[in-house]
Amino acid sequence: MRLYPLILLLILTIWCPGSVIAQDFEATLPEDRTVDPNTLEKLPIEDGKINVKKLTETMDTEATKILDRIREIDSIVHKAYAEKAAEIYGIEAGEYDFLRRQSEVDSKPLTQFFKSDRSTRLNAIEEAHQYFTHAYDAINKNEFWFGREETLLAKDKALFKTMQGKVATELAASAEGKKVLDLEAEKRRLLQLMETQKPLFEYLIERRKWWETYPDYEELVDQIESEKNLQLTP
Amino acid sequence: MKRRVFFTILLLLGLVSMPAAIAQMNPTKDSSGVIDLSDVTDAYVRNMKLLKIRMTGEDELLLEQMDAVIAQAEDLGSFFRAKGTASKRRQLVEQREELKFKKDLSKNDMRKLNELQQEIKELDPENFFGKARGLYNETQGELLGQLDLIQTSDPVRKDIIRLIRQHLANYSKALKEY
Repeated sequence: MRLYPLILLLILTIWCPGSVIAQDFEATLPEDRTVDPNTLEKLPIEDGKINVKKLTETMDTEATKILDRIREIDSIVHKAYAEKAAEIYGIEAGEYDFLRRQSEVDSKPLTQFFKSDRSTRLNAIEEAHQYFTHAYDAINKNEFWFGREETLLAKDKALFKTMQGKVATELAASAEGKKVLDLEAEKRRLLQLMETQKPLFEYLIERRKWWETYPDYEELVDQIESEKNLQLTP
Repeated sequence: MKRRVFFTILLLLGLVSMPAAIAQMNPTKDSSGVIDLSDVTDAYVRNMKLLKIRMTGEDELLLEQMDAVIAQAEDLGSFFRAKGTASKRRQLVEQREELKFKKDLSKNDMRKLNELQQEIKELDPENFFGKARGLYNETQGELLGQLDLIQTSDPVRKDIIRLIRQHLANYSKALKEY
């Protein structure tokens, strides 16, 4: 008989982590469950239901096309900028691109990984591991500026900004400048389009998963439908 | 009778939740954040191999020295993995370092320091780690000397050499923790 409280305690200890998992799952449910009415108009509806497979396939194809076009634009525009920079500053091929990528990518200076002084020196193992992990990604992506001194990175970024401004001005004044400006405008438009489609894509790919497994899914859909009918009825 | 039913239900509830509970109680290495020298060595060796590829075309001796450094680091990593003593050793070294940096060591602290030193020795009675680390440091010194000889105006080449130096320095720093 005296063992009952102990058994109860043991059971509760084992059971509690399970409850925490359940809470975590509930916490992942997004708050916003609405879809923009404008995007709803574009949905492929068949027999009164959205053909999600068809929709995601179409969106995926469109997104791939847009990305391909952006890459194409980038290659033309970057080449034009690099050539102009070489013409103005007499730098070697690839150097301008190197500076550009260094400025565009979130460069991680060395100090980010090694803040350790005597008081935190016991974390050197974790710091070294973190450095090696990030360095691996950077080397694979040819981002060799990784781990530079912070002041050097700042200097390079400032240098690139100055160069970029000068190159853009010179390019705009040249014959091929108009073409480059048009391409840059097209890229901005495409990026904007992708940004607009992103919420719907996310909804279909990610949020719909939990929505379909939501316990009261069918009931809630019926409720929404009946409310809609009530509003429509004069 | 009622009490028995109540506790049976509780017991069943506990059993049902057990897999999830076990999963939570045994987190993976990554989620627990426990990293030891074998993990650091794996990452270091992987990167050094990648950097070596980027150094293709350089002096043959330099590439051989890079190979030697990689092989010796692999030995150090394997030693820890095989012995499974990395965490224990590091824990002892940490305690020892804490005591070393302490101001005004008491008699008790001195005794504790000797005990820790003894325990560290017992983990590796043949001092394999000490010898392997010494050998590694020697090879690393030779590699650094070889890197000093490289003269290049290529910014990418310079960055790769800098990355190799950083890798050597950071791995050495990690080794000092053991």
